Amino acid sequence: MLIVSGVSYATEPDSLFQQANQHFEDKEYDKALEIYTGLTESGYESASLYFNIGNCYFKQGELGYAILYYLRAKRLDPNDDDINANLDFARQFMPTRLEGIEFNPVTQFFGTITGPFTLDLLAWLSSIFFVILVLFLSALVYFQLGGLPSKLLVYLLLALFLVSAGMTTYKYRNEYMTGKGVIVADEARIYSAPAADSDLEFVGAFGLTFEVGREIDNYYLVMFENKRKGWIKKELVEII
Amino acid sequence: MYKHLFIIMLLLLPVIASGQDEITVEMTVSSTKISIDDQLYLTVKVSGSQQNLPQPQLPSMAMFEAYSQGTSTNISIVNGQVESSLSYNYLLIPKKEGTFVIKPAAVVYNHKRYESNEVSIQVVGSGGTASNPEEIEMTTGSGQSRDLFLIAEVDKKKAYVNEQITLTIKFFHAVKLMSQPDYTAPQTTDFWADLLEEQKTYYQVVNGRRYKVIEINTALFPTRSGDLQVGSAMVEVRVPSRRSGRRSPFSMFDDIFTQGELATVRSRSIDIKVLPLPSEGKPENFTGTVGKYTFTATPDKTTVDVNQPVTVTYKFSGTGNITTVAEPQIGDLKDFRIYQASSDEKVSKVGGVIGGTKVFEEVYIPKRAGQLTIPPVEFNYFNPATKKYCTHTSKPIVLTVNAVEGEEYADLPYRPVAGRVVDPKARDIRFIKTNADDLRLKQPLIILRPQYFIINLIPILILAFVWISRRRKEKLRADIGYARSLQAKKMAKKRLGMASKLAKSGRPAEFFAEIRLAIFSYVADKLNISPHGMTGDYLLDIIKKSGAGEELVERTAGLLKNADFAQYSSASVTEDKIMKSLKDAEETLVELEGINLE
Repeated sequence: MLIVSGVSYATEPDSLFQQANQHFEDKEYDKALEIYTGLTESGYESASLYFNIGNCYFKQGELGYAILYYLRAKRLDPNDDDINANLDFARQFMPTRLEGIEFNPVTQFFGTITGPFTLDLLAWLSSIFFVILVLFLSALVYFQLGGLPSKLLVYLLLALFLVSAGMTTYKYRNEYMTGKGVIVADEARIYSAPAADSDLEFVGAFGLTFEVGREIDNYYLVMFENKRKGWIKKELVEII
Repeated sequence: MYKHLFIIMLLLLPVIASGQDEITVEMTVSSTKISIDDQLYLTVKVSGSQQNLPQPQLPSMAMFEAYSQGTSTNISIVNGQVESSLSYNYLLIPKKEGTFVIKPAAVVYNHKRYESNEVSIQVVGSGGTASNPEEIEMTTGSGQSRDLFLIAEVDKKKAYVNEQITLTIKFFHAVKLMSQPDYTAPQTTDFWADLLEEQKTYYQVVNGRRYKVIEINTALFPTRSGDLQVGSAMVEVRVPSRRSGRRSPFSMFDDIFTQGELATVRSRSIDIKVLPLPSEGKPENFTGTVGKYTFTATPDKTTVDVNQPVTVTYKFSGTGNITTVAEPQIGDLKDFRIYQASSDEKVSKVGGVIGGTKVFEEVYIPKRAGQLTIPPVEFNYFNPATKKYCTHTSKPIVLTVNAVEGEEYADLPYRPVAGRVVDPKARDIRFIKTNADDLRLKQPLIILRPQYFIINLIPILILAFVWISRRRKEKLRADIGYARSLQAKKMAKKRLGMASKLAKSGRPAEFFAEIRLAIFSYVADKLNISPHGMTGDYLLDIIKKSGAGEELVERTAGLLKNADFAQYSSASVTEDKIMKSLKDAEETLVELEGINLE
C-alpha cells in the first residue's frame, strides 16, 4: 500500500503510474513527481519510471536531479533513444565541463561494446553459453564423441562464453562495484581534505559525474573523469 | 728600554700614518644644463688610500628619476703608496623644468663624515635651446652625445574614459647601432593598449642632422577617469665607443672587434587627464561603449515553421574599442526561445584608428504560429567627438510563422550557458513514457541471486555425473577383478534368493548347495579367484587373515559344516534348521561385506 500526500491508495502501481502521467500532461509536475517518487520509495523501478522522474525534475529546473534520473534510467535501458536524447539535451545546460579527460583506448573499447547491453542481459547471455557448453561437453563425454566438428563447436561455445563472461565482469566492475555519482547541487566545492576549511581544489556544478572512493563523516572522496580527485559534501551529490 | 720603545714606534708609524689618510668624495655631472627631454650622468667618486672604500650616501634627488649604471674601481700604486678610487654612476632623467641643486653625497669612515661638493643643474623646456640635439651634443661633455634619443608623444592629453589616445614612440639615431635596440614599452597600467601597426622606419632631419627614426604607434584606451600617466619608454643599444679621441690607423677594425658601449635612452613620461563620461543624457541601459558606430539587425528568413530557428545577425561597425561592445540586451520573449549562436569580432587598425565589426548571432525559435514580431533592440554609445550619447534602434522584425501539426512549444527552465550552442533542432526534452509494462519491484542484480548460481551449477553437476559414470563404466569393462568385486554382493544375494526358493520347494540338498556356493562365490569374486577347487578350510583361512572376528569365523565354519552335512543326509534336515541356515547365511554375508577381504 502506498501513502501519497497523506491519502491512502490501495491501488496497483500501474494505475498510480498512469495517474502521475496525467499530472505531467496537465503540467502539474510537483504532483506527478510526488507519485513517481512514491513508487520508487515503495521499491518499484523501471527505465520508464526513472525517465519520467527525470522529466519532472527537468521541468522544475532541477537539472542535476534530472541528469541523475536519466542516468538511472539509462542503466536499466541503455539503448532507449528517448533516454539518451533527454540526457544529452539536459547535459547541454551544464555550466562546467571537465578539461583534460583522457580516454584509455582499452577501457573505451570495452565501454563501447558493453554500452548497449544491460548487466542482466550480459549475465543471461554468458549463462546460456555456459550451460550449452557444459551440456555439450557432457554429451561428448557420455557418447564418446571427439570428431573435428565437435571440437570446433566446443571452441566456438567456449569463445562465446568467455567473451560474454568478460563483458559481464567488465560491466559489473565498471558500473556497479565502483560507485558512481553525480553532482545535483547547482554549485559544489571540491576540497583537498574532508573539511570545509581545507584547500579548494575546484568548483564543480550540476551534472558532473564521478567515481566514489571512500567516505569520511559527511564527505565523499571522489574522482572525476579527468582523474581529478577531491572531497565533496554528501548533501551535494547523489549516487546513481 | 727606551731603545725598544723607539723601535716599536718606528714599526707602528705607517699604521698610524695610514689611519690619518683622508677620504675625498667628489660629485660630477655630465652636463649642468639639459633639456627636459634629455638625461645626464651623475658620478660620485670616493678616493683614498684604503682598499675597502665605504659606499656613499646619496642625497635626495626628487626632481629626477635615478637609475644605477654600475660602479668602476681604479687602483694605482705610486712609490709604494696605494691610491684607490671607487666611482658610482647614475643616470638621471629630469621630471620637470627648473634649476635644481643636488646636495652633497656623504661617506662615513672611522666615525668621521666626509662630504662631496654640491651640483646645480638647470633643466630647460623642450622648446628651449637645449632641445636642439646638436646643442645637447655640445653640452653633454662626458662622451655621451645626442647621437640617439627617444621621444614619446600622444595625440591628445585630455580624453574620455575608453576613448582612443594614440601614443607614438620615436627612436632617433644618427650613429651606427652595434646591436638590436632593446625596447621597453612604457608602463600603461590604467589603459587598455593595442599596438596599432608594425613599426615604421624612415629618415628625418632635425636641426640639420639626418636621423634614422623607428616609430611605434600604440592605441591606448583609458580604463578609468582621473590624472593618469603613461610611463617612460626605454631603449638600450650598443653604439660605437667615443672615449678614444684619436682614432688609430687600425680603427677600421674596431667596429668588428669591439662590442661598443651600451647606451640607454628614455622618453619622458606623459600626464593625461581622463574625463569621466558625462552623466547628463546617459541612457539607462548604457554599457560603456565609446566611439562611433552603426548598428543593424538582419534575420536570415522571415517565413518559418513553428519550432524552426531564425537567426538574427546583430552587426556593430565603426571606430572605437570594438572589443567592449556588449551583446545586445534581449529580454525574455513570450513567443520565442532565444539562444546565442555565435559572436565574431574583427578589429581593424586603418589610419591609426582602432575600429572594426562585431557580430552577434541570436537564434529565435518561435513557439507558436502567426505573425510574430522580434522587438527592436537598442544600442547606445558615447561619441567623444560630439560629446553626446547616441542611441541606435534596430527595426522590428516581423516573422510569418506557419503552424505544423503535432509541434508543441516547450518552456525550458534554463537558458543555455553563455558561449555554448544548444542544438536548435532539439526543441525540448522528449515526452514521458506512458507504458508501465516494465514497472517491477526492485530486485538484486541477477548475478547476485542464488537462482543464477544454481542454474549455472546444474550443468556442472550433470557433467560431473556423466564423467564419473563414464569412468566407472570404463573401469568395469577393463578390470574384471574390480567388476567381480563390485558384483559379488549382488550375486550372493541372488544366490540366497534362489536358496530361499529351494527351501520353500522342499529341496534341502539343493538349498544347502546354493548357500555354500553363495558364500564361496562371494569370497572368490571379492578376491578375483575361481570358486572351483576352493576348500572350506582355505576360505576360513582367508577370512581369518582378513581380520574377521572369531564369531564370524565360527558361524561361517558352522554354516559350511551344515551345508556339507545336509548334502549327504538331507532327510535329517528340519525346516527350522533350513530357515536358521538361511538367516545365518544372510548375516554372514552382511558381516563379510564389512571386512576387507584380501
